[in-house]
Amino acid sequence: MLPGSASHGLVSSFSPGGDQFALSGPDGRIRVYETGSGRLLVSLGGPSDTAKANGGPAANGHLVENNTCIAWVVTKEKGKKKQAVGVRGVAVGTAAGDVKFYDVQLGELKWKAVDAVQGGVKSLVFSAGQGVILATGANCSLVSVGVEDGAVKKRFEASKYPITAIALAPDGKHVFGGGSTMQLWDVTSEERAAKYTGHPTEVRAVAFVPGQPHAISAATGERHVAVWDVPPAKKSKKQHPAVTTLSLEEPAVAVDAACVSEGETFSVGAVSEGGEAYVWVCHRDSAGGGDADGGDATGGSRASLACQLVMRLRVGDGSAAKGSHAGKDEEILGVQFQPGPSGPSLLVARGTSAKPAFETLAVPLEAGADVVVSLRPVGGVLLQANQKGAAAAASAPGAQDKSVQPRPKQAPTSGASVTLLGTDNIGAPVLSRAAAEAAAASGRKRGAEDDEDMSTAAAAGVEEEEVPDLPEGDVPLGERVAALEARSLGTAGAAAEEAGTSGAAGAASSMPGGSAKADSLSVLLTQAIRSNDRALLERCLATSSTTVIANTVARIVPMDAALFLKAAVDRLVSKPNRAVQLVPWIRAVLHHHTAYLMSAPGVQPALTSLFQAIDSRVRLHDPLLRLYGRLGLVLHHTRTDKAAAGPERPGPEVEYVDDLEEEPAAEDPFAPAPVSDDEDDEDDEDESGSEDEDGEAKFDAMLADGPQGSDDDEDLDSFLDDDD
Amino acid sequence: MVGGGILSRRPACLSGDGKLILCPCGRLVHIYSAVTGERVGSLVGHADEVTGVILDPENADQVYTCSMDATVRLWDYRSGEELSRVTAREPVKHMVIHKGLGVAYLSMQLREGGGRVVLYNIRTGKFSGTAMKTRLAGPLALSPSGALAATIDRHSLFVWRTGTDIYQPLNLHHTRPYTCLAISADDSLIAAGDASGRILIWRAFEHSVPSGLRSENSGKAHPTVQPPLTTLHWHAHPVGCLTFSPDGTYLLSGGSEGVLVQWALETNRPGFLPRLGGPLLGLHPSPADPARYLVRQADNVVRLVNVATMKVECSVQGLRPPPAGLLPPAGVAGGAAALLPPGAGSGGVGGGGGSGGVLVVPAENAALQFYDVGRDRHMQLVQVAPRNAVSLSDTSASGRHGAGPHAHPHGQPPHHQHPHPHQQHPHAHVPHGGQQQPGQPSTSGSGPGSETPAPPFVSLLAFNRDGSVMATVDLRPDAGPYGSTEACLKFWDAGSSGQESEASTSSGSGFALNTRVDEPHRDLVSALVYHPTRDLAVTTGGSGSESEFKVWIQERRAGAPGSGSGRRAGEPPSTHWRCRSTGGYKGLPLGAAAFSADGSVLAVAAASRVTLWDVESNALAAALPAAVPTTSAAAAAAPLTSLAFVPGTPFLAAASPSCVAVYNLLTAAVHWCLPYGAVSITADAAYGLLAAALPAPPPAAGPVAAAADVAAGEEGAAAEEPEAAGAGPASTAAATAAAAQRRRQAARAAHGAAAAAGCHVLVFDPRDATPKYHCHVAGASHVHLAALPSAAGGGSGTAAGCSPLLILRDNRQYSVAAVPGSAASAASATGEEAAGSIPKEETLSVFEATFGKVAAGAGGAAAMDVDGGAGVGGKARWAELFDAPSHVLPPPTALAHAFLTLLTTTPDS
Repeated sequence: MLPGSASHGLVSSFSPGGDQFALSGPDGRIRVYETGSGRLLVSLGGPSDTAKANGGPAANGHLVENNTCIAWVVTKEKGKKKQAVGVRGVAVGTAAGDVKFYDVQLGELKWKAVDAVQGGVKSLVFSAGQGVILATGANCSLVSVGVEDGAVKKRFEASKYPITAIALAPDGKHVFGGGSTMQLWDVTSEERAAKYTGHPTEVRAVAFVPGQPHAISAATGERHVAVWDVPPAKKSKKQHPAVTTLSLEEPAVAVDAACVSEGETFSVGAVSEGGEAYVWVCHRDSAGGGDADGGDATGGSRASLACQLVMRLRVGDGSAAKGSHAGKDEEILGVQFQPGPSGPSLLVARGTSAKPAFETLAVPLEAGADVVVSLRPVGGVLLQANQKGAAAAASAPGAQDKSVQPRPKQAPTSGASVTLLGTDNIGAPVLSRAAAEAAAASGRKRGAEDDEDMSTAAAAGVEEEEVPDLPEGDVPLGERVAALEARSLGTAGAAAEEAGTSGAAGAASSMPGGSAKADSLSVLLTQAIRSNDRALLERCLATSSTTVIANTVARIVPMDAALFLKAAVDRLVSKPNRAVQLVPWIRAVLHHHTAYLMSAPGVQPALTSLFQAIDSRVRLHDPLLRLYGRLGLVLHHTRTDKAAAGPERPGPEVEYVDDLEEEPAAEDPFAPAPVSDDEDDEDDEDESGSEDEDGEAKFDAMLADGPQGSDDDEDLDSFLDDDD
Repeated sequence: MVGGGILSRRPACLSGDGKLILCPCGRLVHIYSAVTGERVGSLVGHADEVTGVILDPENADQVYTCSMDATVRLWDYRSGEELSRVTAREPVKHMVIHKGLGVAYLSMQLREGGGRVVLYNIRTGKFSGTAMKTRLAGPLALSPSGALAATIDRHSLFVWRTGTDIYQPLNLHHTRPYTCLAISADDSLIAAGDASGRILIWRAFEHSVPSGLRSENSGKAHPTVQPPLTTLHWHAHPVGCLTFSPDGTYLLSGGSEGVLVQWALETNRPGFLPRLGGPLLGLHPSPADPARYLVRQADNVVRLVNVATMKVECSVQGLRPPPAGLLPPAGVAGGAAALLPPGAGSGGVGGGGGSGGVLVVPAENAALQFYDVGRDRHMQLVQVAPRNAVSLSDTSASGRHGAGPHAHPHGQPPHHQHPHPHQQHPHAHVPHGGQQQPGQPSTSGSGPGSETPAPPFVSLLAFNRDGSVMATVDLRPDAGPYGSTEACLKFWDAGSSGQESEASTSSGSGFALNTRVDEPHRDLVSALVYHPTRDLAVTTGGSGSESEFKVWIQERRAGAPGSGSGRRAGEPPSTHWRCRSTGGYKGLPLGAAAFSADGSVLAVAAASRVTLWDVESNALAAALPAAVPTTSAAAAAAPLTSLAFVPGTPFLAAASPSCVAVYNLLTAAVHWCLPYGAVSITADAAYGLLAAALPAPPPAAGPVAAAADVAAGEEGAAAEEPEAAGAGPASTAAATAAAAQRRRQAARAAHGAAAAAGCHVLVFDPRDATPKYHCHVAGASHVHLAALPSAAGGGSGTAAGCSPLLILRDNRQYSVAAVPGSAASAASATGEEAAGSIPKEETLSVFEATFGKVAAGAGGAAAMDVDGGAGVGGKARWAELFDAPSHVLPPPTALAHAFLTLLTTTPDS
């Protein structure tokens, strides 16, 4: 869920039976997978569908609808003979406030309730008993939408504040949820049944525990899952506190629960922002107290819960330290408990949004010796990791041939991993010839093998030991270290920047021989766009000189410019911290090719997503500016105190440093970005996605407005640094 | 609950908007979404097999169906309601309808043989008085304008003008039998495919068709001047299906090559969509999109193909038919189908697999199909042996291709006009040379098509408890140098995602090959069982005195010594399988094996006896005597084909082609024995019951002989007594080769006869030979049984009832039979009566009614005679004598007299 991670911008849901998995990405499509076979069942929606529903491509200017929540609708109609199979579909809420219903079996949009929840749908549940979909969101009310036709049946003003997550109780009458304060509503009588203390921040996920009087919830930015008594043990007008909380290392994005034994034990599962899954087993202790590790009972009204973390799932070898998930490509996308004869099992969706894989795992009842379960990455050619690896390899001179190979993992069936037994096989297995050859293979082969699988540090270690054996095409140590650093930072763009700042070797290695001029860069860029060469494109994008950018963009053909814009916007959306690098390019494209971009219909989606990206990022700009102003004021006051002591230094009223002309780096189009990295990172961690090129320019301008000089600027920077 | 069934055999159609696929499946018409391939509904109502679905040309929301129950019905498929019905006199095999003219032609199959093409007037609702006689009810074609209609009848293609009675059809004769036909949209072309793979196209034939007016010389008109004929030849096998594109510029054809061929009629140039994976049975254009066609394939797949892009857009996959090489006896003995319980299936079948269990069945081309029983949905295919879908020419029939088993179907067809790209065609690669010989008598692979090399198939499979390890035996009947078979034992690990590419599955999860054992036994592998708790498997096999069983164990591969092996340290220690021990018993052929529920005892069937082995020490624990029903005491007991321990009880069940026996392991003796061959037995773990499928006796000899057209004369005796068919003729015939040949024929005849009669599925309490429950599976010669673990009754073994039984028929339809009133039967309420699969609480009287005829035919002996004299309650008398712990028994000298007395007294005395 973090920017840059695989699950960023995804909403997903398992069908009630666990046989299907719906996944919606930022492109507005909903893809439904079969969990049994992992096969893509159907892809729903998307631009074409939206355009159709809106009555033309340019009906409202938005071609991609942002899906915010997803809910399964599975009904079984008994009356009619033909409907023995029942209706099966997904309801989707959009940020625009529409609720859409897709029939999964037929693969088509059934209806669309336009503006069902004004201001945006935040959460949906399907109530089978009433045959309605309950939607809620920014308008603080619960809206019932009929499953048959999508007509809004009734609206119930449930709260004074926006409701961000709801769940339907097993009795089908009560709804539990809230924005920050958790509440329990009776839907039939349209009144509030109970009130809870709630979360300090926006609630993100709510689920009921089947067969138990409990519900669980998780909120944005909170590193725990709260367990509530629903309905509360005793009726009171006061707010009910949470029974217990289950802590995890990162905020949870999705929760699920299952009953292990009636009235006593239940399991809670949660998926964290970092793409890990946690499973707890909670046991109701009638004696009270007796908390195991990880659980701290705060409510004394009922028998307390003893909770225990029994499983922690992650994809990968688990050696990755905390916080390094930003660049991880494979994550756990969702979990669901499935009832079984011997306790529930956990159905896990993992991998990338491009191709999730599914697995069923047994849930242990007791915490074993090893709580952390590492799932092996699914892999595959679709993964970004390979492209990154390829890009990294391509940056090394003479290693292009390796980058061409698409992850050469496909050993023949009789490869080394298969044991072949002869007819007289009592005793040790007879190794197949292929296996024997593999075992006796030279260090060169091993090195190459290990190089393919550079995802583990161990592999790199092995490889480093064998440096002398490396063939001439292999990567030298320095570049490998640089590549490793780049991987730890997560993005290829970051890799380029890192290489640039870390010094000469890395930067020089990514340079082509000779100095690049604006003309040749436009040729390069055209080539990169037309051949869809990511590595080449990254090389072009590494240029930060404004004149070079302007010259380059001005000389490429408008068609290519549109494609380039699309590519750049894609990168901007997927990797927000590359904005500094990308925005000059995008600005130049918009500036030089306005006429074509306005007329070409194919560019609309890119522009739309650019608009959305900018829109989401400048939202925090105003408050930041205000904060910045106040900080400046405070600093100014302290400084004036200081200045009273020393002689006042009159600075220029406006200081504008044009780094384009004087800078020697202007000659070099591949020079590193002028913004230093540490600052960049700091800003990123401060407010993810809030940082923008425009904003910075304004910061500069505002600074310049003030009486302080350039050294104030440094002070402020250091202040901001210390602030963290 | 009923599921499975063959979807692709009968003509299907697309809905008017092209979004739904309607496929006849047994008595139902299933409706699938053409986008996702999911089932969205069914049309229920026909009393017999539906033979075709046709979209109403005028109302896109209605379809006509014709059925073997001699009705034609009109349905509103969106609501699933039957709108109207026409009753014909005879079962309707094919139908064409022209709404504008208000006529329909029905091709009927007369019950006494022969066919009729009858005109039905929709407006008046009357049948025409006359009909055209044909030898067989053939497919019909009607031109879209409605002016001409045609049918085929072996070597004749009859074309006539519509609107009136069929008086004088034009007969276009051909030297080879026709297989399919099509008329183009503008009536200018008629195309027919023949059995040799040629497509014949007549142009400008219309004037040759006699006018529909009655003339004095009625009968079949042979044209004086033959209309111009074009022959296209690409197919190496009989043309399976033909259709013209709606605009008349293309002709599409398909056959057993699994290639969709699109002929441009201007140039007669073919285009191909290869690798469809199975023989093509039918092509149906989409009414909504001229580029889309519905393709029916013999491997029970219906695909929606876009010929503009030459891509498959959607596939509806049913339960795959059994491989051709797998004759019923092999399927019976090995139980080449497995059921994974609902909770299992961790990695191999992905997540969420199977609320009602996962059925694993072998399919063509050495593949295994995983099928979700509860949701009635295909899950995945696992390719056990690398093989493409190919079609092999039989050497005898296609002499023009040259002799030899290297079927090269598209090498040099005579009338080939354009050299086609070689890679377009899946070619047969028969790895070993040598002459193809008919399979050995013991080889089940030498099936009906023994002239052609049988494709490899999976003959045995077993899973460990949680479904994470799979063991398979695949058989390549033609591989050996002298026509012998070659078996290969393989062990698979589930879902190790890093190696999934090796498992050659297309899906995200699958099985990765761990260990491969070529020729685990000298000859056939007859059984494969997996230990219930440990990673240990046992195979039996070998021929003659070399017959043996082998115990295979999983072993962790020793850690890589240093960095020398190139194996990374972070990887989990890999495992492999090896043979731990072998064993045999007196040189007797070993035919079946089973593990006890706790895994401590291994039972191996040695000919007609059962041997018990200690799994750990590999020591022979006991040898149980052969169970010989007294009725056939003279003949040697038939070798046992399957064994099953009944969990929770000290009983072991054994089945052979001649009897079902239950051994009491406490006394090491036969507890009871029924003289009826069982095709499949299974034990119900939750209730400690035993289920057996017994082929029903044929109703009478006359119809049986008619049905089994191959086996005439002396084989009639075999047909009368199917369970003895395996042994009887073999003893009488002199030459062994002839005996084998006849035996196969007899088996087939018996098969056909039994198919007419169906199977009885009986559930026994192993303590007693009286069946507790019974259900009759009509029309299936052999079924495979598997007990679904019931969720409710796990704890209480004493409660009445039994676990739901999965009954898999040979037509790949399965039904879940449950005791009435239980949760499972309540859950699957509708459609049950169609299969007749609810076992009814039966008493002894019904049992006698069931077996009355056979009991009478067998000479009036009591049906429940057991070995060594029958007790009153169906219990062996001498078993009572020994029914005590050994330390309280009197010394053997004292017992011997009483024992011998009991043995020698006949039941009558």
